[in-house]
Amino acid sequence: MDADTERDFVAFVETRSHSLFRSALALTGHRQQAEDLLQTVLAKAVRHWKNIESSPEAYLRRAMYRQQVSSWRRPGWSREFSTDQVPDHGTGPDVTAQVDLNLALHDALRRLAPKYRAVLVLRYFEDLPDEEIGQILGCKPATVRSQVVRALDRLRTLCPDLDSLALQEIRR
Amino acid sequence: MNTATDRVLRDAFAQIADEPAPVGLGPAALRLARRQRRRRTLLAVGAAVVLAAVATPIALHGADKKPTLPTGFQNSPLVVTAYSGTSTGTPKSLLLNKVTGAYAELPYLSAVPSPDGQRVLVRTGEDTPQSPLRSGILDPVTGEVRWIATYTGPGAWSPDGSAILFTERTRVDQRGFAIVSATTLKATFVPVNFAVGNSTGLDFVWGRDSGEVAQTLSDANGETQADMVTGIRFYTIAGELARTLPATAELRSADAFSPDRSRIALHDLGGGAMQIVSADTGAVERTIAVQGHTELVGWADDDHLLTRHWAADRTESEIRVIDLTGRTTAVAPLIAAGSTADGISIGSAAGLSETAAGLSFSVAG
Repeated sequence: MDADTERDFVAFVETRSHSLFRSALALTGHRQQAEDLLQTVLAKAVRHWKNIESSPEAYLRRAMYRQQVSSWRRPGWSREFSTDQVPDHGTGPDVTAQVDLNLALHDALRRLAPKYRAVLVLRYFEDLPDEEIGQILGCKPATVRSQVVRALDRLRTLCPDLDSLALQEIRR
Repeated sequence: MNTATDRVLRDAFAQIADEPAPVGLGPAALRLARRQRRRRTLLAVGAAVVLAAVATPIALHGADKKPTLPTGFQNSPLVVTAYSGTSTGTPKSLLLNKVTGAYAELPYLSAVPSPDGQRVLVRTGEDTPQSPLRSGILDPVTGEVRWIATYTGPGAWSPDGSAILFTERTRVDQRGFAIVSATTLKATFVPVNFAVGNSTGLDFVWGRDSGEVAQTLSDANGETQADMVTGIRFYTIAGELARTLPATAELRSADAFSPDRSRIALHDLGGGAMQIVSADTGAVERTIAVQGHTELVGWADDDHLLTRHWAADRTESEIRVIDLTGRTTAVAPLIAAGSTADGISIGSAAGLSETAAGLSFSVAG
């Protein structure tokens, strides 16, 4: 990569880093892991810049999601863990309870397996249709839909108050 | 899924992602890419014997079965024993069959012979969920590859060829190095918080022998300047800090140790020079100015270095033997596909077929 191309790359990253970092945060739920993830795919982008400079953001997003799912498959990666006890249910609709419910949801999302979390982030954070999600994750739209269903089932197990939160959302 | 649950999830992700991005991501990514490029182009020297075969087993024709430490080549002729990553499309590496004098094609991203030449560390994968990266040990006699299931990063042979070193940085809370036995593939992870004092994020490398690993320390020097090297830490393979050497240039691999292990050839982080320092004290004995983009490959003998010199446009490279004043004393013949290979391994030409004598070179040209 020559000096001009490096400048182009740095300028692109400066322009889009906020948006990309938000996606990385949503995917990982952890600032340091988000930085590591984004750094990894940006370094890959440097190597392939000549081929991707027409649409680098699409490449980066695809690489980020695939990297996250593939990282999870590597040994030693923090995986979802099972527990016999699910978190306590919230008991009231007051503000404190609402905060507790949000924390419980955040905790459940953090504990969700990255492949499930990735498909939820793509649908509910990136607002992408199933076809595009499938292209990013390398699977069919039907598989995306089944993964979403399984992810939500798992999320409800980890956060039984998910539907209570939804109910409160309707009442607001 | 009802719309209220949709909204709850959208809100949750929006809250989780509501943090400012760190500054300097672009320059940091460029530095990381340069480090990775260096790792890919690091060349393994010291392979006393290299055989070639994959898929089709071959016999150990003329192999030197006695493992040896990479103690230089005692003025014996040298030869490129492997080219790693010779194609930008389908992964391809080339391994020298000394008996036939020809390079065998291997379908791997890289192929690095062990110091004793008895095994070859290979790597494959596309870093996708369908095709994750993985490393394995190829037995050139049988063509069989034993894949390493525990660690997936690029590994490095220990000086005695008994183990492979991996730097583990996948998890923030579990960083350190892992040593995988080349015989049993048993992995031993050693936690070391190597993020501290390591702004460039350099990996672990083997130290003076197979009983220690080392890591170059660095300090950020602003976004527009190269990081500064502040020293080299040496750890026992149990993870205990053994010593810290003062240094202002980078230790890139165990091949940087001189054949008698008394000196180290270090690289300036920003390029431009190499330093020959005492392995005991870190005292700089000599600074060698290098022109253009030049990478250290290793030592040919106690008085000569093997370097890889790239053309300004990076479209080709050559292996140069230089003395400790920086004077080129010989240039290695490379095959056409090897000039732009990601990595080049060099070893003794002993046992090389006479029909391939044109592939060998010596320190004096």
